[in-house]
Order: sequence, then C-alpha cells, then structure tokens
Amino acid sequence: MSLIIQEGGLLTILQTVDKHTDNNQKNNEYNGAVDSLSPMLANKLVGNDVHEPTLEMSGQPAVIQFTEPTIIAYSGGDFNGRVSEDDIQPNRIYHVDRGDVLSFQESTRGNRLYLAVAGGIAVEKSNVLKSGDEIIMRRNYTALHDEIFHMMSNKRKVSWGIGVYSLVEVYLSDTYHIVKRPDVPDEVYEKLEEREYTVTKEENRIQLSVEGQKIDFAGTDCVNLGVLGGVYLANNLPAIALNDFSSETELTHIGTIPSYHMHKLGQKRRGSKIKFKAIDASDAHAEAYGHYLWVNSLFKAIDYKISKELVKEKM
Amino acid sequence: MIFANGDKIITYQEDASVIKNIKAQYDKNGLHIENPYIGEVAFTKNTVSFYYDPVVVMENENTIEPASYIISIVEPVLDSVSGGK
Repeated sequence: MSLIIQEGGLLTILQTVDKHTDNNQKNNEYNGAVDSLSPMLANKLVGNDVHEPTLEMSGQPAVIQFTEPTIIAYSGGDFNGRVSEDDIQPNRIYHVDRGDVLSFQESTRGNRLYLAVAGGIAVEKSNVLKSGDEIIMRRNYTALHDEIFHMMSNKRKVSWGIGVYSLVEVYLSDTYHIVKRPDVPDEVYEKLEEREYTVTKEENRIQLSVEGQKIDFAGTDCVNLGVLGGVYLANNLPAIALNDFSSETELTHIGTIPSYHMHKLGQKRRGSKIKFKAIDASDAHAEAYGHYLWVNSLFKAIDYKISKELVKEKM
Repeated sequence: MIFANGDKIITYQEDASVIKNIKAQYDKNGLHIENPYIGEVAFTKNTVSFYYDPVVVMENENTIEPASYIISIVEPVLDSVSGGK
C-alpha cells in the first residue's frame, strides 16, 4: 500500500500512455491516455520511462493520501493543487512525505491531469479507482531516481518547471486538422471549415459531441473502423472518437484528426470551441514529424534541467 | 478503395464479401505481410486497417510519404486476395 484514494473524483483511472491490448488484468482496459503528451511529461519530470502508466483524472480530480515518501509531478489541465498546506502547480517536481494529502482545485483551463509517481504505480484490481482504493508503488527505481530522491531529500520542490509558454504550441489553438477521406466530397469539408463548433459533452473517454452547423452527408452504407480521432456524423453533427470508442461503427466517417492534435482535444470540456481544417495525409505526416522533433527537444530540455539541478546539489 | 485514415492507419474498404475473403486469408497465413512497420491489423465487415508509426517509417525508410510506403506494401497483397477489385 502506498497511495490511498480518499475521494475518487469524477473519473480516476490508472492508464497507459498508448493503447495496450496485452494486459493480464481481467476487465481492465488500457486504451491509452486521452492526452498522451501530458503523462509523458509528468513521467519525464520524476525520472520515469515516459511510457510508465500514470493516474488520469478527469473533471474533478481525486484526493490522494501518500503512505510513504516519494517524488511526484503532474501535467495536463491547469489544475492548481495542494499537498497538505503547500500550494503546488502542474509540470513541476515535488517531494511528498508519509501522510501527505494531495488535492486539487477546479481547473481554469483543460479537463484532465496526469499524476506520475517516481518508480511507477500499479493496481491489483480495477484500474478505475474509487474512494478507498489503494495504489501500489512499483518502486522500479533507477540511478536517476536515486539522484532525484537525494536532490529532493530536504526540500518540497525545485525552483523550475515546464512553463506554460513551452506548451502553448500544442495546447492553446482551437483548430484541429482532419485528414480527408477520398470518398467524402470537398463540399463536406468546406462546410466543416466554415463554422466553429462547441463541445456539448464528453462521454467519458468515449466521444466528444459538439453543436454547430449540421453536415448533410450520408456516406456509403458501411461498417467503419472506430478509430481514435475519427470524426463521425451522428445526427448530422460531428462526433469525435476518443480512446474508449467502439472498435467499429455504422456512423458515417468523414475523416480523422491526426495524433499530434489529440493532446489538446483531450483537454477540451463542455463549452470549448473546435474548428476544423481539412488536410491531406502528406501534410499530416509533415506536421507529425515536426511534433515528434518538438517533443524530443522538450524532453532534452527536461533532462538538462534535472542534470543541472543535480550538479548544483552536489556542489 | 485504399486510403490514409488519419496519420497512423491505412484502411482498405470494400464489399463485405471481399473483406470476408481477406479475413479468411489473414486468419490462415497472416496475408504473408511481414513488415516491421505494420502493427495491429483490424477488421470490420467492410474494412481492413493496418496500423503503423509514420515517424518510424519516415526515419528508417528516408521518406516523407510513409502512407504511400505502407500502401505499396499492403495493396498488392490485398489485390491478389480480392482479385483486384
């Protein structure tokens, strides 16, 4: 026992970064984090492998008690938090002690946060966590973890974090690329691009529904693949598939949002605006490569800051 | 019809009977598609889809068109099973 969920929040789930179909835990689905960039950032900050599972909390986050000291970081929506009496912010490294209670205020921007714990975490039962559930610390520590623990041994936090300005590029825009299908007429995309849509609701991790200009297009009678980021027409309005969307659907599929825009989609909430820009796959691949380079440069910057902090500590 | 379904999937869409044949062949011999870039293969009644990581293809194959690369691998196989339909 290492972490206790005191209050479950709206939806708190242990989740992998990407979809995993090979887990051995019955009834537990690991379809990946809705915002897959944030858990990687949180993991990077605490010295974990970036693909280590994290706690995904949507809407109202959980209240969590720690039963032993550890290092944590969280990333995602703009949730300010508290550890016992201290205020904490996203994208920073914190040391928590035995008995500390972590809680969060309502987000001013964004819908989800991802909590990483140094050495990793796991669950024995359901990965959907309720009040009273326990989370196991895997304690899969590396030499880097040892150094970070040593660095944080007599302080609550480090003086730096990932600034909001560093993440603006991937989170702030309301425009979403949609990769066109060859069997959908250009007029559909023109209509889609004309107006702004407003998120009306998110069915937890399943789909985002929007309101706005209706698209009068029926498509062919076909059972489509249910794909992450797929834009389908439900009652002539776009419905965007999230990670737990059905593996197949008879809804008309009009295109797919590329992976590099799914991070910010995962932070949309009721009332958020969405605009579409239709592009070809070749443009999406150019953007995807640029995004990949940007993420790597961000990871390198975190490595540099941690190593600089470690050197400072040793001097 | 074969197309890039977003940035990570190539989807082939056809009549249910064609996909049924392809599925039977896939269950029998994996369609003999042995390519390190193709991961999960997913079927519906009307589609078969191939997942890949475009960045890995771009870097390893020195191409800016990873979708075309994957299509060049899977399309001949699908054509041979479907009779070029």
